[in-house]
Amino acid sequence: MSLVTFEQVRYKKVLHDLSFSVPHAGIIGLIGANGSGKSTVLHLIAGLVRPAQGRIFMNGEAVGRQTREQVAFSPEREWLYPFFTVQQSLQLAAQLYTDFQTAKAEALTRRFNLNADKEVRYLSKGNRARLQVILTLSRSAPLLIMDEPLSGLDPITREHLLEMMAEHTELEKQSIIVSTHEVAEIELYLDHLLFMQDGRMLVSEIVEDLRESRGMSVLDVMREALL
Amino acid sequence: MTHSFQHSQPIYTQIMDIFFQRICRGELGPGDKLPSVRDTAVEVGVNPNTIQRSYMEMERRGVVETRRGQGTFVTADIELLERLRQELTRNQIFLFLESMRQLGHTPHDIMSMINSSMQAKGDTKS
Repeated sequence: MSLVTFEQVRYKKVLHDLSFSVPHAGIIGLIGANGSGKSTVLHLIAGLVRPAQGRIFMNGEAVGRQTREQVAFSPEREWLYPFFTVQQSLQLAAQLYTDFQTAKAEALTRRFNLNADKEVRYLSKGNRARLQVILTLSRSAPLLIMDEPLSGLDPITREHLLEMMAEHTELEKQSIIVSTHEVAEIELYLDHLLFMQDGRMLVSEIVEDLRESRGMSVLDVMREALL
Repeated sequence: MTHSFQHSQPIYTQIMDIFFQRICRGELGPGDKLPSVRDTAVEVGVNPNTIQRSYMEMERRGVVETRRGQGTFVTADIELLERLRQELTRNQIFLFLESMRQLGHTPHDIMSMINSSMQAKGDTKS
């Protein structure tokens, strides 16, 4: 049973007849330039928008009301309330999501030195991003989706966030899909590579297979796909 | 440990090589506990599933063993560790000789060049 399957999915003018499959759980990278359709694909998997045509499956189940509860979705824009403290942001998440693990979130905010009493608007940009990632990682949903969690951040913070995701996603029972337009920094963290351009999925491959059976790096295979 | 990986080769084999070297150097001795999969993943900066795979492969080769609920340990089988060290050494020598041949050196040249560079480094003993 595959993690995600798209069958001939059409959506507005963004996706035409898109078919691909992610066969296994793990850390999945969705790479593509701005406007390639990444965000649309993520919204479709999360069941937040519906395709005009075609079918989408998550863990063998047609995407819909049932699967929506199995996805923790973190949108690209900042979605925290600026006037809430860190602690209040955690409390709100606990009220909104039945799968929210407050203890995990508290442990992570302490570990990353986020002051519980500080209002979100007074946090640095990097720390606001950390808090968003913590709130998403603290949900026990089988699938976590993060839309461009690294964009607009400095390289150290980006690296830090990737480490957090690799360490705190519960990979025994959770998968995570992360979209980004930069591949180099995420390459070593990926189980599966998805590469999109102009609404088409040019690559969907297990990354260690590429290295093992074809002797290719992620960049090699992306270059080849663009030829 | 900071590492640069060959991105066109499987990462899990490269992780195994790192551990084999640490074991051969004695940094990780017979019976020592390996760091958890998660800790290694963070330390090295790679996917935990990849680390898991290298631990499994090292276990398959008998170099480490996983005890339920306790973690992964270097085997206490000293003979096996010695064989591993010899095997890795042979591989390195083979690779070295191969690249020297590519440069057009004869075996005799190679020997004398090794001797002179080791003397130059004052490194003949260790």
